[in-house]
Amino acid sequence: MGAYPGFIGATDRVSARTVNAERTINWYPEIATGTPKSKTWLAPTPGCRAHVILGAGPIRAMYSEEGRCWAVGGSSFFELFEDGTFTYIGEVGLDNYSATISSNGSDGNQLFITSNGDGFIFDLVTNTLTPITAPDFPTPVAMGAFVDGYFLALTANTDRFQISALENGLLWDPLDVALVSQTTGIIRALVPVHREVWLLGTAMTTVWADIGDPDFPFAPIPGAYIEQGIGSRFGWTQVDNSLFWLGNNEDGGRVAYRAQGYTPQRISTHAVEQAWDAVSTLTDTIAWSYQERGHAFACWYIPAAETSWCYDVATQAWHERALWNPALLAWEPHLARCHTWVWERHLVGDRQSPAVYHLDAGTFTDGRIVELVP
Amino acid sequence: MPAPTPKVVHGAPGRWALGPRATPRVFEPPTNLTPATARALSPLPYSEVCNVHLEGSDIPLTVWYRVTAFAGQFGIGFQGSPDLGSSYNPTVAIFKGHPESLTSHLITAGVGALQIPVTPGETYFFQVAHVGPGIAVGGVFLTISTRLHVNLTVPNTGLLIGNDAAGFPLTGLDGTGAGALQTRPFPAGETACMLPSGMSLWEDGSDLEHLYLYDATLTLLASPAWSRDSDAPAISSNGADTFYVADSRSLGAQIRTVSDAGVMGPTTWTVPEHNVYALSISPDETIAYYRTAALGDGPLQRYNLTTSTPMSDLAAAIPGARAAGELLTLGDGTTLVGYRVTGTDYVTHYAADGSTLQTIAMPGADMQINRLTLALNAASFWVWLWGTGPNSGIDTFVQIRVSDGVTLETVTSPQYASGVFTGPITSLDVPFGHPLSCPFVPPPPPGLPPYGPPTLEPPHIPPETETDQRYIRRLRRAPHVNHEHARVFFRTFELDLERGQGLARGQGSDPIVMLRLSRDGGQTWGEEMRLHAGALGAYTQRVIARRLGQARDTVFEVTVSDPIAWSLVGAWLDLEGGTS
Repeated sequence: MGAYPGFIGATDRVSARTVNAERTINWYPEIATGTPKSKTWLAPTPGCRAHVILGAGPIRAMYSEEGRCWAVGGSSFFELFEDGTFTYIGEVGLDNYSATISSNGSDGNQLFITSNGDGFIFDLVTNTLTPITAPDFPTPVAMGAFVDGYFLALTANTDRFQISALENGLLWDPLDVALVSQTTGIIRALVPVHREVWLLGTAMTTVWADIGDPDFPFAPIPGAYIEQGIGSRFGWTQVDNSLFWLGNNEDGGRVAYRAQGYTPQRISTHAVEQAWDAVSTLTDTIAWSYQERGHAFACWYIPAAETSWCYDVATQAWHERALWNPALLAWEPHLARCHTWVWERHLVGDRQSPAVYHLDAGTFTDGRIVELVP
Repeated sequence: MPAPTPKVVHGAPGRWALGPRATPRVFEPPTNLTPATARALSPLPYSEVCNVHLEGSDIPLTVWYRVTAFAGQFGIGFQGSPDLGSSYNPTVAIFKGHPESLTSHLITAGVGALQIPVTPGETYFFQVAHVGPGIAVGGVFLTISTRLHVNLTVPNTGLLIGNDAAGFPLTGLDGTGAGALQTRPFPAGETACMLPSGMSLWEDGSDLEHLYLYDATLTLLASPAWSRDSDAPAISSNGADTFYVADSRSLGAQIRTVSDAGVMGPTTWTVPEHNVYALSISPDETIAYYRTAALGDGPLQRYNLTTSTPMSDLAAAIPGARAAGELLTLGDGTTLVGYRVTGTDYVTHYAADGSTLQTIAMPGADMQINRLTLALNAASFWVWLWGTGPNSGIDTFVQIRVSDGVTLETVTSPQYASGVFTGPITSLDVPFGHPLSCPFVPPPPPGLPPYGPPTLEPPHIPPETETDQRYIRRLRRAPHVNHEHARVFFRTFELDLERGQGLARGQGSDPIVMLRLSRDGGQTWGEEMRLHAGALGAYTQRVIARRLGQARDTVFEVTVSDPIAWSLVGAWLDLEGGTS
């Protein structure tokens, strides 16, 4: 007998099945080192074990620092604990977008939460949640971030972002506003990368940095202008020291990129792009990422797609993650839509229920514990 | 039976939504025809359209849904709507328990929009059945819309409305039009009163032997003994620290005090009449104002609490008018009385001597005074107006300044009677609302926080309570095998994987690999073959399939779903190339 060439591999199915029908679902290729029997093999993706079911879902954001963990479930904000308990903190509102949580750490002891166009501050010392009522806070806010002592708030559907007072997210000066005039169109996403602020528009991206100007600290980096925007507000993620995103510009979209410096490097294959091209819309795509056993995975949850798509930075290969629906005899996207690493566990938030799962290689179930047997 | 025509549903976020609306979806023929196959309403809010037409029958199918309440969830709205113009009459019965032993829960035949209280951890079943004559047309569509009640702070500018139907909750209504903010379990009753401190005294219709005293957080403090006949007692206060309760007796109605510590006063006043339907007390606690005519068409009477003797009437009966709702006696000794009339109802403001200070007309003719309550600051009062005629099902709450009768606030809210919306259905998503007719009081001074302790109960998810959780299915579809498009004969396919990983017992003790082939380049697929991957410790097990036939363009696919750590290493083929 001879070896079956290419039996171990990635998802590379193209629209013309007779060219290539290869799919890899819930496995990922790994390259063995040393002198293995086989240079490549397929490792199983982890299962979803319930860590906690919160009072509301879907899980729209998760964040952790210094052994504490928080999540936005539905319209509610929760603190999660290692033993599987949680505390309901308050209401932050709900829309169809993800929420964001950022922190100014021990200098400000604040979490900045954005949800449903509004901003909130959670005091890490008093454990109180306060709506940002400063009249000059930009609403509706699309997302928040933290860079160099400032919280940054991107105003939805504009080319404008604003910064808070230094280490205080309850104070917002109307003069601390920046218009991203280098690009046309709106800015869809604001992403802090290596202390720089990436402003991803519908067709172009500019990068700003803190230049220490006392009037307004952030300014565009000369030359950091990228002719590639982003296809969905939350279609980006950071892993392996890089930004990954779903590209979009005047030439087209539905291509995945990785930032190499200020140059977008295409990482999606034609097979991936053809699969994405068959989906009705990618504008609601949500990316998330994590690193497991040396594999940095950038994953895209596309609600209208059959499966979730994962790019393995280690092998530069794509695989799919999905649930099998035996009633419909069809795949559905993996449940995860956001991730945090805390208590030496990968926790992911469910895209459709109040569940937070522990991604666990020793678990062989796919989650979906949103319904309890009476 | 031919498949029903699929119908696409597009959801939209609602003001009361706690989760994104259902994404557009196409439904297969309904399979949720029994409690055991009830479709899970998840995630909430949830909506769908299904075709309940059964070919060959003029009676639409009965379908079932279920939902489990999670921590922090206390109210659910469920609406089953027919297509407009259809004679399909989807009628909902709600149950809880196990599919094989369901018990009825509050609503047995609700039509239209429903709202029910839920208990975290309980599962509720909704049976949607057609009630009425047969429908001689095909394509009968049912639209299901389900959502969670929010659980927000009720500001002290809002209103608390109890429920007189047992099992239904108290509703916290926003006073500026933001709708029902909160629902919380609470005894069902007809009357209540709140002191400026936020202490409140409530009647419980299921307990004829006690009254119930609550603090400003609606935590039960005391249940003073109180024996009465079948009518609910009228409850009022001195506007400071003492409640007054009037009860109906065959030998004359009795009035007693209840302190803010829940202690019954030593004095019992007995008025000459048998029944007291509304009561108020002068600020110096010397006079009790009351009315005794059930229909409100009698005079407004007075009783001297100092001398324990009847007094002359405060006001005579008004021909053609019926007093309605509570009597409100203010700090200056004046009294507000609502009157129902043919036409536009009004509130009369009486001086202490019975003269009329002002008459305040209600906003419209299709509104009927139901209840009155003082606002927290006593400088204004609220009138609850039932919607009638074209306003049917939508009640109006009007806040009026006492000094000049100016309207400060007007809010509307859908009315639900025993959990069923009472108005005509004009929307597929009727908002949450308030009960039909019950005690209504302002929230306590700090407002009323969301129901439930700040720390929710940690969820308990023992494995046996998990459902819909499936073992991960994994698939590898390998590259094409062909040879210049000539026939290739496959003698053997052998899979190389980590063997002997089976579990000690249960599923996974005999792990199975499903192998199937496509002989046309991945377009169509043959039957699955089951290959044993080796029980625990069977490290030399061969996963092999023989005599696999021939094809010009073959694709192999393996699928696994047993709960073990599947690691695929590769595959071998024993094949022979053909010549044609």
